[in-house]
Parts: sequence; C-alpha cells; structure tokens
Amino acid sequence: MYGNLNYSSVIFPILPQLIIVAAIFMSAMFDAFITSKKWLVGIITLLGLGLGIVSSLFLWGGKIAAFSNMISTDDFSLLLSITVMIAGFITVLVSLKYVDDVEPEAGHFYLLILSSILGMMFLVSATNLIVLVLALELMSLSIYPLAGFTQSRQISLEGSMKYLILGAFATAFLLYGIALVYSVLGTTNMYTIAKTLSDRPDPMMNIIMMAGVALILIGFSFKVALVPFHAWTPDAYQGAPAPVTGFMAAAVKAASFAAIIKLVLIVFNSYHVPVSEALWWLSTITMFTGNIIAVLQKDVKRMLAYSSIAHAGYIVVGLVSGDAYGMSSALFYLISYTFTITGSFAIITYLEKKDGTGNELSDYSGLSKNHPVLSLVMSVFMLSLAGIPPTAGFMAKFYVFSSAIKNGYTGLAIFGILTSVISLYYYLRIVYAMYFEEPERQTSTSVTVGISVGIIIALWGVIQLGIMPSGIMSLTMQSIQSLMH
Amino acid sequence: MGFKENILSIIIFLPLAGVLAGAFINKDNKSAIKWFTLILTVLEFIVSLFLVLWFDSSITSMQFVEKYSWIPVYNINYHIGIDGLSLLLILLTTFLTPLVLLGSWTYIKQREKEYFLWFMVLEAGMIGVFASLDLILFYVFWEAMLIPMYLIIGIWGGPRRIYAAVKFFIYTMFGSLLMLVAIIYLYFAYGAQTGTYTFDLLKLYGISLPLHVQAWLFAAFALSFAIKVPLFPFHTWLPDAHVEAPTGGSVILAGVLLKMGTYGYMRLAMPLFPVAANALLPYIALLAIIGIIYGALVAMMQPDIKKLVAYSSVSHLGFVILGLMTLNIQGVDGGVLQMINHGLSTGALFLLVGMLYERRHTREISQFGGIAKVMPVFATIFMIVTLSSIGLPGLNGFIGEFLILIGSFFANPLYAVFAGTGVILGAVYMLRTYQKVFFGKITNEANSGLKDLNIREIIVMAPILIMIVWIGVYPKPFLKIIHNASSSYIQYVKPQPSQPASAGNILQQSQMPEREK
Repeated sequence: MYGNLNYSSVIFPILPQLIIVAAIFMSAMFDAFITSKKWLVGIITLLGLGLGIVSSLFLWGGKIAAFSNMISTDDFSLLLSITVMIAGFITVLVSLKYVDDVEPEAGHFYLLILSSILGMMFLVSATNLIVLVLALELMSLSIYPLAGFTQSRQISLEGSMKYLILGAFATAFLLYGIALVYSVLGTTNMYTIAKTLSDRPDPMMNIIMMAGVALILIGFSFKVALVPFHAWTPDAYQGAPAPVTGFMAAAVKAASFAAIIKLVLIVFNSYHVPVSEALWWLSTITMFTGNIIAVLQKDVKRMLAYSSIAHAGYIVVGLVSGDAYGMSSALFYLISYTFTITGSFAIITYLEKKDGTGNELSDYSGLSKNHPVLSLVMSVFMLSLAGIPPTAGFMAKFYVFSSAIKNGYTGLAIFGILTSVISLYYYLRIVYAMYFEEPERQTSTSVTVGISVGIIIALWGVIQLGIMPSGIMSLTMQSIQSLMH
Repeated sequence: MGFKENILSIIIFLPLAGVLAGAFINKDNKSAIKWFTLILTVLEFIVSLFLVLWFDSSITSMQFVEKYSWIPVYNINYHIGIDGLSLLLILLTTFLTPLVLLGSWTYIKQREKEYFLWFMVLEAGMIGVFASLDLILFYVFWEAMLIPMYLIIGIWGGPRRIYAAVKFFIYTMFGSLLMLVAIIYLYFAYGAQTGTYTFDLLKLYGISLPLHVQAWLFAAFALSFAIKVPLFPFHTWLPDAHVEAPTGGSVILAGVLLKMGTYGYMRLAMPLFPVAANALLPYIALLAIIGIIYGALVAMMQPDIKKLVAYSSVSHLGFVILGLMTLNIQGVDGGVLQMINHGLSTGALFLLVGMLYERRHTREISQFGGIAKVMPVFATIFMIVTLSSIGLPGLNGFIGEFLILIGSFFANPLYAVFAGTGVILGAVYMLRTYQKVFFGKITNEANSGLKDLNIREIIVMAPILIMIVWIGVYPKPFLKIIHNASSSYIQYVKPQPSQPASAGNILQQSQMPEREK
C-alpha cells in the first residue's frame, strides 16, 4: 500500500499546515539565536501565517481527502483555517511589543501561537474522530501555557491551571464518548459513521450510542464554554495576557465550534437523537447566564469573558436548526465574532499595564478625551458585539436569528433577542465610560504600529461584514455545502 | 448616475461625506467646525428643496426611486423612494438641522467638534429612515441613528444625562429588536406564500396572513413605534431624555425622532397588517386619547419649562396618532400635517427654552416673571410659538388640530369630544406658563439684567416663525403634497366599504386567503 505513495498527493492537501510547521521550526531557530528583540521571531510568525493564508486561498474550491480519509481539505476546512490564521495574525501583531515588555526572553510565545493554530487547522479538517482528538489536544496543550504566560501573576497561573484541569476533563469526556461510539459502530471515520447510521434507519438506538453522543457534546461544550460547562472561562480569560484572551475567544472558539458544526452536520444529523433539543436548552441557558453575569462585572476582560459565553449561545442558535442555512449562519457568526473580539482585545492590550492591571471599567473613563480615534474604534467593536447595525455583529445576529425563524424556532429567536437587550447594558457601559466620564488616568504611550495594523484589519472586517456581508455569506454557505457532498 | 436620478442618495450621504471631511478639521479650530457644518447643512437643505421642485403630487406611487442590489443572498436591496409623507418629513429634518446647529453655537462649550459632526450623522440617519423602502435598510438606519442621539444626550446633557441616555437607548432597542424578529418572520412568510423572498416594502404590502399571525406581527411593529412616538404608557423614557438632552438634542428628538414612530405606523405597521390593525385600532385610538389628556395634565403640573414642553409632546403626538387612526382623509391629512406642525412649534419651544436657560441657567418657572419687559423680542416670539402650539386660528397648529378633530368626529364623535378636552387643557397650561414667565413685575433680581435675543438667535427663530404663519394662513401646498400619501394609506388599511370594520367582518376577512391589492 505504501509502495506507490504519491508525495504530491500527501503534501498538497496539507500544504497550509506544512507551511505552519515550517514556520514553527524557523521561529524556534530564530528564538534560539537572538537573545533580545524577540519581536523578530514574531515577524517570522507573521510571514508564516501570511503564507499559510495565501496557500489556503490557493487550494480553495477543491475537496481532497488524504491520509486514508483521516483528513479532508475542503472549503469548510480552508475557510476556518483562514479565519484562525487571521485571528493568529492579528494576535501576533498586537503582541509584538507586549511580549517584549512583559517577558523579554519569551520568544516561545510565538511558537505556542503557531502550534495551537496548527492544532486548529487539523481540527477543522479532521474527518476521523481520533485525528479530531489529537488536533484538539495539540491546540489545547499550546493554549494552556499561553494562558499562564505572565508567570509573575498569580491570577494568570490560577486561570491557566483551572483551564488545564477542566480542559483535561473535557478531553476525557470526549475520548470516552468516542470510545462508546466506536464500540457500537466499529469505526471512527465520520463519513463511515454517518453512512452506517443512515443505512440502518432504526440503528443502534441504544443507550451506549446515546451516551457516546452526549459525552462528545459535553466535551465540546467545555471547549466552547457553554453553560453549565463554562466555569473555567472567566478566570482563564481574566488571567491570560490580553492578546491571548483575544486569541482564545476568537480562534479557539472558532475551531472548536467548527468541529461541533462538522459533527452535527455529518454525524448527528443522520442519527435520530434529540441533539437539536439539547442544543436548544444549552443555547438558551448560555445566552441568558452569560449576559446576566456580564452585567455585574467591573473588569473589562472578565466582562468580555462572560460576553463570549453569551456569544457561544448565539452561535448555538444557528446549530439548533441543524440545516445548511443554520450552520452557515453559525459560521458567519464565528467569522464576524473573530474580527470583533480580536480587535477589542487589541485595544485592551494597549490599555493593559505591565502588571496586568488597567482593565477596570474606571480605567476606560474619559478615554475619548485623550484617544478619540481609539475610543471610536472600541465603540464600533462594542456595538458590533451588541449587534447594532451597520456592524458585523448585526449581520451575524440577523443571519443566526433568521435561520432560527426560518426553521420554526421563533421562540428561541425572541428569547435570544431579549437577552441581547440585556447585553446592550454592559456594552454601552464601556462606551459611556469612554465618552461620558471624566478621565482618571493618563495613557502617555503612543499606539504601536503592530497594534494599529491589528486594529485596522479587525475594523476592516467588522465594517466589511457589516455593510457588505453578501460575499462572506455565500462563502460560508459554500463551505457548508462542501462538507455535505 | 445624475443629480436628479440620485438626488435622494445625495441627500442621505452628503452629511456623511461632510463628517468624513470635517473629521480632518483641527478640533481646536472651533469656528471652522461650526461654519463648516452649518454651511454643509444649509447646502443639504437647498438640495432637498429640489425634491419639492421635482415632486409630482399628482401620482400616488413612490418617486425618486433608486434600487441597487445590496445583499443579494437575502435579496436585500438598497431601495429608496419617497411619497408626500416622506418628503415633508425629510424637509422638516433638513430644515431643522441647520437651525439646531446655529442654535447650539454658544450653548455647547466643550467638545464642539464631536457635537457638530454627530449631528450630521444623525441627520443622515433620519433621512435614511424616511426614504427606505426595504425593511432591512429601514432597520439599519433606524438603529444606527440611535448611536449619535445616545452620545448627544450622554456627553452634552444635564446632570442625569447618563441615566437618560442609557434609558433612551435600551427602551428603543427593546422595541426595535422585537420588530426585527417580526420583519424576518414576515420575510419567510411572504416567501412561503409567493415563492419570492423579499424585504421590499411595496411588495410586502400585498401579503395576506391569518389574523392571529397578523396580530403578533402588528404587535411587534406597533410596540416598537409606540415606544418611539411615544404612546401612553410607553412614554416614560421621553421626559428623562428631553430634560437631560442639550437643546439641540431636544429639538431633533421632539422635532424629528418622535415622528419616526408615527411615520412607522403610517408606512409600516398599519398597511402591512390591515386586518390586525383594524381590529386593534380602537385600542390604539384609546391610548392616543389617554396620552392627549394625560400628557396635558402632567404638563400642567410641571415646575420646569422644559419638562412641560416634553409632556406637551406626549399630548400632541397623541393627536397625530388619533388622526392616523381615523382612517378618513381629513383625519389622516391632519395627522400628517400635525407631525410637521409639532416639529416646528415644539422644536421652536425647545430652542426658546434653551435660549432662556443659556442666560439664567435655570428652567424653573417660579424663577421667572415679568421678563417681557427686559426681553421684548423674545417674549413676542415665544407668544407666537405658544399660540401656534395651542392651535390658534391663523397659525399652523390650528389647521392640524382642526382637521384631526373633524376626522375623529366622523370616525367616532366620542374621540372628538375627549380630544377636544386636550386642546383646552393645552391652552390652559401653555398660557398660564406664559403668563407666569413673562407678565407681571420682575420679582427676581437676577432677571432684570437679561439680554434680549441677539441677531444669531433671531436668525434661528425667523425661518420657523415664517413656516408657522405660512402653514397657518395658506396650508394648501402642504396638504396637496400630503394628499396622495394619505389616501393610499387609507386605501391600504381601510376595509372595503361593503365590509365595515366590525369584529365579525374582520374575522371573515382574515379567512379569505387573498386580499385585494
């Protein structure tokens, strides 16, 4: 079988991943040889990510299965890969100065970002449950040290530790679930599972299969922080350095959700368990809890942590309906959320002080006096999170809720809309701190080039998706369809 | 592309282009910013006059229509066009904005650049709302316009400005988000029925839905607009927002923003869901009448002039809604005209109160008395505006209220009786306030040195006074513009003559699958 191995057919489908691997090696070498100015390592990382994005675009339109159907490179995996690479790109841009300031020796920051992106890229292209778990672990194990990156800060380490332990639980759930499914069906390939299930219409409607599906769902609910599996999120988000928090909220969430979308669309849809009903409940509880608790927060990072929980709930609204339309809307939501949240955290990074303080709401008071442009942009991001036109967040909510209404879940849409009225309060809280209150502190440093470029990319995304969403909407639809055929 | 073909788009986007250009003006160069925005908004007004020039009041369909594909995935179009109703409201907007800016010339003493630029954003948003014929486009303008208003109240407002701004925003959002759900529902319902999925308002007018669905959708739209109008009992945000907002904010809020609610009833809620609208019409009329009397009574009790004017808005807007609910040509014509009248006279009142506040830094009625002696010009102008507000014959308020009363008498004599009470109450609180503030001896020493209006302030007030008299003496051109819009509104909403709007017939109607188009 290995005799006539065609190298191009092996390299070609995972070209973007290979480029990232090369970038990891390059960065590691650079990191070893230069002792200060670690931002140079960051530049290598940026180059690698840029090349990765270009190569993904190059592969666009095809659908290639590789490694004995372990991996499938299709529009879905490519779109998600590009999304996480853009998130990584913005994160690295934002971190260039931050890392040198906080941990001058730590060039491995960039390596960890790259390796977690590598994990995500395999996660979104996996068609085999074993690869799925491996990729998920590669991603998670790179993120844990990033979350605890500032070692001098107790809170950072605590958050990271919590994340690690609960993340391990999640993996355990997931693995156990996969084992159960395997024990019933004898395969770990998603498409084969789907086929086996649909061939036998009243299949293993037995308790073991049901438990397997439930455990897999729980495992991923941990990863994307759905209530009640969200307990790690606030601490990990608050403790992590600001750029990492943005990265976690954007890329980790996007990749994990992509895996869920894939599982629901390929596997669960052909299995007649009430997945949609479970998702309905998860979604309502998550939207409600996330938004309510966020209202009470005084720390902006913690507030956005709860907000990100709530947003996970909105994304699940798209999954509830279970059809291509709903999945496409969830994907669109992920992309628009990625731009918005990385942009927000770019600004938070700028305002965060070296010791990790500077994230209180009072630190944002009167920001518009000293930084009119920065405040305006931050307001745009907050309005996008709140879902107010003409921003990406509005179009995303519009898409998700219209998918719910289309499929008869009008009640869910109304509930979601009402929780988003609650969310308005705390997003506006940041806007009014910046505009209506008197400044309490002076930020004298100017915005670095890296942060500005990062913000500009994110802002471009938010405006583009808010005003001209049609192109991305058809791309998400196309990528969902590439998964179904 | 051409000036005439794209004139509506030019009117919508000219202020936004101005904001982009104005952003480059140094924020310390205050007079440059003020003059720049003033000239631009005057230019905007002049451009909008071309609409009147080219408007053909003999045709019923939309005019100056532009339609470009915007989000093809959803068949959402950049579809704009106006009829007489929109035309007058757009003119009101472009007319008031430069006056407001000129009126804020010295009132705003901090962050002038932002203030003047946000007003232009607001102007673009308001015009966009009145011109949109696509529901999503409408919604985008409707919401986007909240942000500048939120900032205007929150940054330049009074002591409780933050509370007022947040309350204003969340109240309005609450209503409009439910409307968004209804819009999306409508989209899929229409698509399921006809096979074409569209947000095009003109096409959606033809939809026929079962009564219970119509009732829910109507409720969502009506709630959103009722909050905006504001209709009793959804008015509680209004006094806070009005009192805390800076003068310019109050003028635009009362003059234009509230009209979006009444506009919404006339353009969307009623004609889209006629069956439900007819069934619920008496209740809305009842709320309007309660609003008329309640607003007047509460206004009567206010010690603060600005709060008094704010509550008088609740009363006046009740008249407008009542006019729209009569479903006869007099009532609807009067309702539309009253929208304009209220924009002029209440806008003028807020401007005048602001001028007084700028001099004395108080709005307590008890602090004043006898200022007619020191400020004769101010007193005269205030008198004319007061008389316009209470509907003295010969001034604009009379025409509007009179038509509404005739219309409501035809619809239901009881309406006219109760609404008439509101007119009397209005005269009572306005004249009594006027008397307390202006007549008698100067009892408070601080008032003896008040300066009369300066040239700038007179220039601000003069155009409004001209309009007040013009509409009062010769309303015909205005009514001519309104006429076709009102009659097609009535046509959409009113059940056919053979089926008067009784409950039994409405139920029958709802069972008929096709409504006549």
